[in-house]
Amino acid sequence: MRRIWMILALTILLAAGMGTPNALASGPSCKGISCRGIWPESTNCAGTHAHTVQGAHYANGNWGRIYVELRYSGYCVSNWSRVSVVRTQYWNGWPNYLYAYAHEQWNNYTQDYGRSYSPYLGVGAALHTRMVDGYDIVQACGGMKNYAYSGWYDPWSCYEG
Amino acid sequence: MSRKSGLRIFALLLAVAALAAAGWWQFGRPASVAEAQGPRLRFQTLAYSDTFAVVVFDVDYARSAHNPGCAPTDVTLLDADGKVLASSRQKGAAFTQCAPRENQPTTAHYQTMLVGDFAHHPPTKVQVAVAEAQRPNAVRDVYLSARAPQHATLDKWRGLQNGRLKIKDALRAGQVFYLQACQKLPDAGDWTPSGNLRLADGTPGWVLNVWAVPYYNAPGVLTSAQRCFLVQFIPNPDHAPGTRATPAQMQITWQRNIPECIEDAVFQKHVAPLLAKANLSKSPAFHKITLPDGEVQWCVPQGGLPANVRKALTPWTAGPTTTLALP
Repeated sequence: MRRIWMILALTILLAAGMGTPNALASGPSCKGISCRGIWPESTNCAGTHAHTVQGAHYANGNWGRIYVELRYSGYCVSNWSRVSVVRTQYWNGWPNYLYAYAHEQWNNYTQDYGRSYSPYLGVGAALHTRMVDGYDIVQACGGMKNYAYSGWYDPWSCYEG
Repeated sequence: MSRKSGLRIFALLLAVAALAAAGWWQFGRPASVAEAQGPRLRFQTLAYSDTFAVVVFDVDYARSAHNPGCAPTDVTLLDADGKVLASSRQKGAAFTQCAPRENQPTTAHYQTMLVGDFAHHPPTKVQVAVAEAQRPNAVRDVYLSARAPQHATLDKWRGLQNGRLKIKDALRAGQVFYLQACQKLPDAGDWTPSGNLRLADGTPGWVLNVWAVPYYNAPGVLTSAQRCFLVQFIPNPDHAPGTRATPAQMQITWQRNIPECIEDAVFQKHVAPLLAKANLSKSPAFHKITLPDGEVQWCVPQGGLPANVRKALTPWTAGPTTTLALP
């Protein structure tokens, strides 16, 4: 009888440990301030349940047009910034650098990310930042420029929300 | 004066000097005076409808000639008694967009949309606190509008509906239109609106620019297929309408965003078949990632998706288009 109880207990333990991956997910990978500085893709915050909650289609400048998004995960209560290139144009060269940053307004904490593209940026190029605390008011910014020549009217755009 | 009182006064003066040096003395200062070394703010549009308000202003960063970006701002609507009616410090209730102003070096153009019950509590003042460009949260200037926001509701647009799209509220500020609308979407997913306002001859005279989801952080808002949104239409840069032109039709198209990562179940159901159909199954567009808890997801690498992959996913990303006749 004792052996039967042991087998039953082991079976229950195994069943609990071998469920589907989704059943294993006990909750968000991080929440609020604990998401700070973590890439969304290394967590379960950036899936199809994440949303763009603010955007502007006509962020123009000398190098063309970009689309900046304020991204939000309600599951993790985190924000991040994503930028993509809509159009490029020649102006003292071609744009070759894309960047984004997300700034917690009250806590004064920033995550930024940028990268060079060689020989230049193409339409559809996109990148995003690490996450910041989604309980704070977050400013999400993005832009593109020519690494050797940056001017006031580079296309950039920021959102606070 | 006793030695004790002298020490007290000295300590008080020291504290005031320290606060002034830190810039805190500028908080709450009800003045519209621009400091010589601070940003200069110029109010443009101050308008409200029953359920939202729009504040548009320019900030000239004369001393920061090299692309300072947008310094964070605080926008507050006040009533006649100085009571706060709406504030950008309430997450999800206000959205500010900022971008450089063309042909005006060192000037950043801001616009804030705030939601609130302005039908019962009309705003009479607007206060904007703006930080130094390179020192967010440091020294701020506070500006108070000299004029009251205008009630600019477009009554004839309110309540217009076509199928799953309904205009809740709208306002016009010069040649720019703002509205709050709701759309029943195919699901509660991550959707982005685009669209235009057309003239009677079908020309897209205005294009959808800024959009936002009010109270996106409130429970139920993003988990519902009924999506309410604030949107701004600006004159079409390619076909600007005449100053007396009026829109006759609104068209809004929704597109599903491709997230940074797609859960395996969703990927296998919606994405993999489309990639296979386009002979892109072996494309390295998505990286397979296994999270510590065993969950598998397919992630877009930094850099973005190739154009042919984005095109192949169109059947999954395309959303509804609704046209609404405007009186």
